[in-house]
Amino acid sequence: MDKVARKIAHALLMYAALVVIMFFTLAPFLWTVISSISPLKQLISVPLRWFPQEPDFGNYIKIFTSGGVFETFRTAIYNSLVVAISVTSVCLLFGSFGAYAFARLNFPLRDRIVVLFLFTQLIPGIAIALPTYIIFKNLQLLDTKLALILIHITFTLPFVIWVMRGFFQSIPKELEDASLIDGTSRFGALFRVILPVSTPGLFATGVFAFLGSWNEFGMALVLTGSPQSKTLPVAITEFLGRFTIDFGLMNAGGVIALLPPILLSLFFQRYLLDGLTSGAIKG
Amino acid sequence: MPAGTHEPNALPNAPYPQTGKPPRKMMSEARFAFWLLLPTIVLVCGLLFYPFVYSIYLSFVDLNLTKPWKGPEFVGFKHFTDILTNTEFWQSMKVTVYFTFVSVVSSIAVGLLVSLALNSRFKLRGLARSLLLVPWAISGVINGLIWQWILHPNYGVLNAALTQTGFTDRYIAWLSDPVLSLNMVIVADLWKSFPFVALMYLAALQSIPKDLYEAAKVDGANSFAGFRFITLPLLAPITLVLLVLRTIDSFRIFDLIYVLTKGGPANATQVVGYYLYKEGFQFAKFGYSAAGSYVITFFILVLVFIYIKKLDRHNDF
Repeated sequence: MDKVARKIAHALLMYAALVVIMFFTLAPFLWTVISSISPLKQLISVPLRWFPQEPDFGNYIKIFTSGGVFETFRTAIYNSLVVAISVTSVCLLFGSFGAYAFARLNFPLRDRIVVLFLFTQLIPGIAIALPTYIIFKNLQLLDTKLALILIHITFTLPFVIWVMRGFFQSIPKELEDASLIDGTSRFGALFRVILPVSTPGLFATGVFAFLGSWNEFGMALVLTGSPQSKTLPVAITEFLGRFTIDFGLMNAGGVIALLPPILLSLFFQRYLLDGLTSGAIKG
Repeated sequence: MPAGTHEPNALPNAPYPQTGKPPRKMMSEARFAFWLLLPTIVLVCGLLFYPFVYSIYLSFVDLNLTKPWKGPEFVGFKHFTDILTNTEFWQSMKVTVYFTFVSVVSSIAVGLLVSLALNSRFKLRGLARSLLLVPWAISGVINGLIWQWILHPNYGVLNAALTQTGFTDRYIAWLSDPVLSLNMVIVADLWKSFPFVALMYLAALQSIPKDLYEAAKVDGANSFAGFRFITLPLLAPITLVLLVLRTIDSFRIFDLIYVLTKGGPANATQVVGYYLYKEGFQFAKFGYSAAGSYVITFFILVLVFIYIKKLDRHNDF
């Protein structure tokens, strides 16, 4: 009897812990979503009324249809998409090239170069922000999406190579040897043998690259200036400054910015969790 | 056994079965590798190493931006002595070290506890694990936006919740008090950082073979002893990896501060990343800021070096 009671107590304790964990994990996010569909009058009522009687999508309609600053905001969404998608595709392409070289080919200083690549991840953004700004200024690439794309690729590639290298190393070499004997070129082997069996790795690193670029703020803040290149994180901070009292609108802007990364990572979670752990455990 | 315990040893002697391959093949292998790596090398050299070296140059000259006719002027270690004797810089270092320490320790502690809770068998475990990805995927800027609204002094939901449940009788200005604000920033950071730690620990926990615990049980060990003498030692390698990653991340925190407090009140939350950004880009003190960025790069390298030394020692036994 005592054993049963202890078991029940244990289970209760565990479920209580789970409720607390899930509350802390989700409540801030849910509150943002709720606030974004609540009328302003209700958000600033004291004492606070928690849920809107009926959802008010006015903030979203405003962001997607009004002119002026909202148009800038929409351009920023577009810019973020262009930058993040370019960064992801280029990183996957060059990343699998590099990873293949490190995983399969034998060349001098190979293992040192890998470690050197890994060390680039230690450089704090602020240490290269100033010179990068000056370099892009001299190249007359300041305030362009291209500059941001290039710098995001540079930040992400070493990481992508590191993770993909792990995936490639786990593929049996015989698979590739067989096709090389059949007369396929090395390039053909990479594209027709290695890449198709590494789709989980490609998905995982692809999502990492996309999130990294979509969420990046420091460099975007330094390198962009006008609506033609500003990405969402920068636009959001300006939005925050401008609508300090329109809380619903502010939260709606936030929800729009956080939805793509959340949906992507939930959709690809299976690959992401594997990639996350394998990348970091080896790193 | 978690993968981390044998991986580092496996790396150096990765097999290169060169048997039977003609030397001509070796040449083409190196050349092929060169072409594959060329885009990466160009970008990493051009936009990482070159700027990194360029900022050494910046830290030793005065660009005379206000007097462009004078051109850059060599000033020796002036920027370094300036920054190392500046009280605002050291204040920001103090804030950063406090932030890093509390943030790293709390995220690892909370992450570990969460992973232990999620490791037991229960319904919807998969869902709970997936939902941890929500804060993880959100950017620092949005994290700042979310918490700024939660912590709002007049309309914030935290104040509403605390007064409606009777914990406090008045609304608290969370981000206006110097001591409170830094800790609230840490809470906001914790929300985003603990899920990653929890997911890592969860993966490590699931790789521990169950029969280890059963064997210990047969020997008369209780579940606490099992945790203390089986779980914890096997989590040590991943803990060190997490320490390195989390320390690097926390030490260069920027976006959250930029959105949430802008370093205020009274520089109480001004971390070194924000301080150097302010000096460099708002006050155009390029050399000074570059010198400072080297000081913090040095700090990060020292920290990582200490961790790696520990990691090496750990792998010996």
